[in-house]
Amino acid sequence: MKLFEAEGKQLLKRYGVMVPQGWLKDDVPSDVNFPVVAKTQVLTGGRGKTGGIQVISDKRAMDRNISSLMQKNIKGEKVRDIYIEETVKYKREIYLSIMMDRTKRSPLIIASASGGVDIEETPQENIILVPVNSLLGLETYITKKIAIFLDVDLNKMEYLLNRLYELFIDEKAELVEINPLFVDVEDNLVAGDAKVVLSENDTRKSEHLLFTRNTEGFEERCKALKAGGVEIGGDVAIVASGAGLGMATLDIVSYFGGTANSLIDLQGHVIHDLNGAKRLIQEIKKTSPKSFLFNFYFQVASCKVLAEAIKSELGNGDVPVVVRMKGVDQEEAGNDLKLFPNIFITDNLKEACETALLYTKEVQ
Amino acid sequence: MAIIINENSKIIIQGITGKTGRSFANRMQSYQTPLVAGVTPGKGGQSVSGIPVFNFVGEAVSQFDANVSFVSVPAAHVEQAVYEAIDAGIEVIVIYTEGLDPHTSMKIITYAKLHQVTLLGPNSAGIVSPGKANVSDIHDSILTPGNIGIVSRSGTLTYEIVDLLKQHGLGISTIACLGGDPLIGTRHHEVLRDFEDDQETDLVVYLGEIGGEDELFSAEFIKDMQTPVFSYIAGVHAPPGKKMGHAGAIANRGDETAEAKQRVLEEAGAVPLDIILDLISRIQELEETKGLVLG
Repeated sequence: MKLFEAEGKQLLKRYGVMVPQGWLKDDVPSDVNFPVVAKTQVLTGGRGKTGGIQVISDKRAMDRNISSLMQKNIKGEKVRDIYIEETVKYKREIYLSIMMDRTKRSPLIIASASGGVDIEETPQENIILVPVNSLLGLETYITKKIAIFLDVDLNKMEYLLNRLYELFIDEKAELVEINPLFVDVEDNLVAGDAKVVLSENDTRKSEHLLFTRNTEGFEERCKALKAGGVEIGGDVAIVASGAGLGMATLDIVSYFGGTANSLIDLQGHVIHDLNGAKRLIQEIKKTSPKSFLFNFYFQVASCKVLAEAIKSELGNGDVPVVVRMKGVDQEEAGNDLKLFPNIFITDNLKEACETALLYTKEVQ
Repeated sequence: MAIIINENSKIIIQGITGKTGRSFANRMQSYQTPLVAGVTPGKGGQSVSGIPVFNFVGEAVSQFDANVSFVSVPAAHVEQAVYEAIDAGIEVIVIYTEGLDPHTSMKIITYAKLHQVTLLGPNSAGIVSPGKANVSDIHDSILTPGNIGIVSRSGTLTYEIVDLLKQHGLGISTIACLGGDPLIGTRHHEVLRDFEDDQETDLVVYLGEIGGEDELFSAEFIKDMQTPVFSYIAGVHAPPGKKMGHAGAIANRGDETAEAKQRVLEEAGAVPLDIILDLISRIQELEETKGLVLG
């Protein structure tokens, strides 16, 4: 889960990282020192380039700019709040992050002397990548190496990296990125921005949130039912017994010239829970697919639970349904569904995909 | 021969008294997988499907020379269970449990590497050498021994491939499912190397996914492989930047897409499949052109 800048800054501060004085728009004190920087709170990156950050010189301009910034739409995202920060007098802008590296399977520190720009656009020779052994932790040689590469005060970098690493580990973060990291006129290292991504599987993360998160989308509603859902926007709703099989089914449907409305991965829960399965189908129905394609292949679970849910939610309905199922109780579950004119049963994957596609063309 | 596990493996289930553990124990017993013991702290002295339950992994190792563990304990207990297994001398560990946070995975993987333990997962459907040992959720009734090796991230996609092969009378040497998480222990190219060295594997089906770089490492290895490799990367039509069910299945960068990975694998000499339905016809082509006999 990605944090808003204001949330990230609050977290950095709690761990002892220097951040500029800052407040959400309704909490700005009357004796704030101008000029200040007004920053739109969105999760999308690159807000600076789209006018989402403004420098403000006095109180009157601040009130005016806050209301105009609140109306902004940053790359399709509504602005949640405005974060007002006092300006920092700095000599240089650098880049520092700690991320979870999939390939090395360890934390990876990335540092660059050119901050304030997208790290992807920085030339390789200006970047240093230092993996950290997760069982050893952050050793002094690493902080030295980074301080010398960046040409900053050794003690200050050592302190900052230790605080940042502590945050990364304790909060089970996937990414902590400070870009730009200011080197101020007294050589202090001050976080100009904060991008923090916490682990999806960590349940403690809610204590760091200042803003509520969207729970209204299709994906969030599927997640609440312990299934995985991705809205795609085409015709066929593909419901599969696992992520790999689901993607493979999506690829076949697309290869045959069709489009998917959504892809749903049943995961381990709803396949045993009739009510959950019914509610999941109801959610998918709301996205108005032209046809349903169920593809499940169970090694342990019975086909009967899902068949029952399909029968009660989709049997005799307007939407054509293709059910391709294999596994425990396959025959019995199939016989149960055969009676419905809008449900087609097969154990052949190719035929299932072709039929689901054909159905989308018949529906107008 | 088979890779990683075989009929001489001595298998334990950590979490044998749980629902998943019991169901696996029962199946392993019914289909002659060499399961020697189960472990659940506090339940030592009980038995499940006639298999003795111990409190600690060390007891199963000293009494039965256990060397393979199937871990099906809840996510919160996986870290301790795996450290215990490694310290007790277990050589191959399958983490079946899903939902681990990447920080826990990272530490477990680092510790396993330090002790040269083969770790599959987390979120792995397991490993099976048909007719020899089955430490996976793939049902023995759909498996036939043969000379095709499968390496995959996903379990459910693998069932489909196994089924396709079975319909056409083709059997399997070993299936290794490495897990759908972003951080996994054993990586794809390590399994490819084992298959290349395995006398019983004449062809490899490699099932990748969008996200991560493992397929790119594999391509480097495939360049020097003698054994033919068929590759399929799931998620060709996945919308960019979306997490497709598996925590690891998300293409954040251009080289993490299915197309980019397929291109690199094809350049390395793998036979790319656009869709899994093409597998059989492509295998038949290979049999005809190279005179390969698969069964």
